[in-house]
Amino acid sequence: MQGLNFLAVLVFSSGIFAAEHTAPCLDAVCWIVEPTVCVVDKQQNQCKMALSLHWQSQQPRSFCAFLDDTQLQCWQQQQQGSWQQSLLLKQNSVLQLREQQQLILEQSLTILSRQPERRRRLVAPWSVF
Amino acid sequence: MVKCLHQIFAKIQVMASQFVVPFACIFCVAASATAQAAGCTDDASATATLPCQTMDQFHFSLAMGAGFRSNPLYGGRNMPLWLMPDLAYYGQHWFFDNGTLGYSWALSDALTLSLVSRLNEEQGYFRRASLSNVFSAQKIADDGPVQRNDPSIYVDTVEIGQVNKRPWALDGGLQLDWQKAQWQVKANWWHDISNEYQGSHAKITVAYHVSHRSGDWGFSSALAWKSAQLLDTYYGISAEDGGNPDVASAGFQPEVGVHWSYALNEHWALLSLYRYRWLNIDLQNSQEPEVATQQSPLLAEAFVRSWFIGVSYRFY
Repeated sequence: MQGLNFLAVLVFSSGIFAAEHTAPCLDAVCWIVEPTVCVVDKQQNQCKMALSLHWQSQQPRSFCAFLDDTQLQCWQQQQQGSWQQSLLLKQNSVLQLREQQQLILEQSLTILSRQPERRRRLVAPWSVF
Repeated sequence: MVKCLHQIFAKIQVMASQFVVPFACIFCVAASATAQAAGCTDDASATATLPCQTMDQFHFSLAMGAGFRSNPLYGGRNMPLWLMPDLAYYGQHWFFDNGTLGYSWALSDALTLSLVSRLNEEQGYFRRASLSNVFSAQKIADDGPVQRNDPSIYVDTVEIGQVNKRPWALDGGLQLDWQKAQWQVKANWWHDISNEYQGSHAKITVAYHVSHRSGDWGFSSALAWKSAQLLDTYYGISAEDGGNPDVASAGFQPEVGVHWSYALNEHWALLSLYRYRWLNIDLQNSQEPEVATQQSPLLAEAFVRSWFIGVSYRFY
């Protein structure tokens, strides 16, 4: 019995966390995109990320998700939709939710490097001499 | 003519004996070195093998040791090099590097075009020496003395204290860099934007960087071209200088250099630099243009030699 109570608390708690995670949608359309930043060890390295998006709408809508003009997924007359996949980002990108080519929502995906960006010097070191 | 050829040949022999042999040995070291590093984005560049710079961050190092830059002019003062700064800042486009201010565009991975500006360096030679040096006149031309204002006076040389002060000038221009692996080729064109000497100069530099167990080496050779207006403003003798006008013609100035550093730890490094620049500054007497050209009477030496050996400390 005690075990069932614990399970009930656990389910209830996870429900609360899930509700917090999805967040109340006050706008006509909302979405959650995770993650929005991808970290690489070195500059100019490609970044592998498991991207997930979840959208919800107050009315049934027909949306398509695009990554830099490449179509990822489409939904027809639905109030919510989800998509998840591993991606290899070569550069900073933009994720968009469109309805018949009209932009509804947009989120940038950024590659950050642990190694600071470096440039080759254009003047010889110690050239004051 | 034969005498002239003989002099040129003798000059080349001296140059060869002094510099070609040591440089050949240095290039042997370079040839045996292990090739490392391509651009500034890999691990090797982070160890300062290549002259790379972290963006949006000041780089400041100070070197302490012994050295000097020779002054080729009569009455000129050698520039002692006890302390040397190395200051650079690179943003996405803007950069400041040891006195050069620039704005650059990456045309491709290897090509960069920059608008650049800096003070012209010729005025730096017109720093007067102590009085003891001012009066140490030397004969420089085998062809005989140059006749000045008073026909009864023959002058071998002209001290910088005897001529009008030369101006500081601000140069502006373009720089094209090609960088691939350890090679760096740079082409510069400069023009006097301060309207002081009203001329131009250009330079092409080839540099090679290599990492070896003996340290990080950089070898460079360059060829500079300087316009007649530039050389005449600084090394010509005008009527205002109190003599018969001697007009300079445009000239080429080759140069070789070597740079060695050996990192002791993250901040400290051993450092040695050497550079040798040949000066070709010939003047023609404007009143007797049929007379053969000769070296500027301001020049005590037809070269500028710079060297430094010491330690450097990197602050940022």
